Amino acid sequence: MKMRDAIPPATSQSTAAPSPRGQLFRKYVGLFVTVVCAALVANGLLDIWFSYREMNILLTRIQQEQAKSAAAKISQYIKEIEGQLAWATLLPWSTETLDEWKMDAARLLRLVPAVTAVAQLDAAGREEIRASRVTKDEVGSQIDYSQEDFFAKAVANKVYYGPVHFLRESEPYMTIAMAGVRRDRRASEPQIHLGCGVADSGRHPRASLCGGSRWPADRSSGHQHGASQYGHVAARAGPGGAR
Amino acid sequence: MRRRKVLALLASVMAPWPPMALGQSVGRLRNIGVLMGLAETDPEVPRRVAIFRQALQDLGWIEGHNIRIHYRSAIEADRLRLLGNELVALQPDVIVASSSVVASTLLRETHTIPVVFVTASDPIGDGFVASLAQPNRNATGFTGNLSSLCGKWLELLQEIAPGTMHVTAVCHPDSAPAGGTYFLPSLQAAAASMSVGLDVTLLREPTDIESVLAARNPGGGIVVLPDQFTFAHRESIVESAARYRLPAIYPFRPFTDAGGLISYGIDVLDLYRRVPSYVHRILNGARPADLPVQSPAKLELVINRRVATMLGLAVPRIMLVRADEVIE
Repeated sequence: MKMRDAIPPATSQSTAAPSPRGQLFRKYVGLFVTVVCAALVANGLLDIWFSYREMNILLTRIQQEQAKSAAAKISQYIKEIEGQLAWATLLPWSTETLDEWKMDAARLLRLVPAVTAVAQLDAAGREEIRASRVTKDEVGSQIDYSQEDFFAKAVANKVYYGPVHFLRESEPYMTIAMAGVRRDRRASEPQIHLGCGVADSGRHPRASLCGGSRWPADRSSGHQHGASQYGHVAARAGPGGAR
Repeated sequence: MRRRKVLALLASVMAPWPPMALGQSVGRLRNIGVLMGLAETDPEVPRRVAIFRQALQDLGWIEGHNIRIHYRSAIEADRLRLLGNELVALQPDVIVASSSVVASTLLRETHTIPVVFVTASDPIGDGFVASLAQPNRNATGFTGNLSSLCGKWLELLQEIAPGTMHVTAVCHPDSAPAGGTYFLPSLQAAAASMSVGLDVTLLREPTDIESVLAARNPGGGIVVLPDQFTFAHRESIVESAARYRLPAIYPFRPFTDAGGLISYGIDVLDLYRRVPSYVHRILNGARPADLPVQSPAKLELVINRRVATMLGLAVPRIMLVRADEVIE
């Protein structure tokens, strides 16, 4: 009886409780799975993070390249307009040359589609002739521009690149002013050309830079001096550097 | 199991990326509506369509492949409204409107479908957009001939016909911007500065053209203002001007092609080349409310020398330099 009494507890113990080896195995498996999973998750997260950063860097680089190429295009474009303006400053101004001047202005507008208006000022900064695509041409209006920024700067630096401003809040324009290449015998100061040129002919640079953004513009003066993205690019694009 | 879940999770994170990288949605046929305020038989229609289609193709939108274009055109207001309804019912991704009249017809019908207008002289005044920089509505597009061109029209008319002492501006009350009053202040200012007499005459019916032009005295000139009516009836306006030997300036090139003396204004066909860039952006998800209204880049001067000779006018040399084309 004693033996019988002694045996059953031993057998019941072996069936009810798992062996210490089995318990350890499960623990190991559990730990292993956790460690591997944690490593995988961490790896995955790191991967996502790195690819996100790479993508960002890549995007920034692409945008920078695009901005650079747009700036280069605009720069080239402005240089071309400047070159076209240069030949128109050769003739001295007088009433006898009025017809020649008109013809030069007409040729300039004909050859450079980007130029919307061109004006000739005398040494004192008064307007002598203005030819425009969109408004009536004026001769001898004598409008005084001598206090304008562009006049003083063009006299001092030979050429002036205005800030980009937005006509009717949507079209980018800039003013280029040039001092005449020769000094007229009657005038001690060179003459100034004022060309209003569209900063872009409507090809890719504007499409990528202008669309969808808000540009605050001062309507009263027609000039916008704030730092819009486009203005910044265009200003940097000026052959003489930022002004 | 966990690993699979993690992989699945990672896959689900990565999954949305490729379409974003591709940019354009592929496979689905997109619908574009085009509504023009011209007679179906007008030779301008196929010209515009060909240029529009080509420009879209250059941007990767090929008719029958990834887009379907629904063309409709009519002059009469009732018919236009009907066709506008028809297009809106098709629920296209974007509708192109040829003029202010067409755009206002469409914008009365829909506040959601993007509308791109090709020429609208006064989109703010007509209520199409809140501002040119930020339309803030389902419409955007290109402005037409600006009112400042009035000065240019009078100037050119007097240059080619120096004897012009009185100018009659003609337009249609319903299709001209603001009933023709949009151009009025600029016309008056230009006429005053040039000491030229001015009157504005409204053409309500096609029969008015003949009677209005017949009533002009010698020394009179005509400025045809840009609107859908004058454009659609350009042949009869040009014919009447020739019959009564009136020097006239027109706002669009097709007038000179049809035998008009001189035209100065926007190149409409060029705009049909530029409109697809906005259609392209709208199809790619841009909202018209954010796309600024653009101004026409190109103004063209066309002189019909044959007509000038018929009227006994000599074309000055400077005008020949300015002209984009001289029709001999």
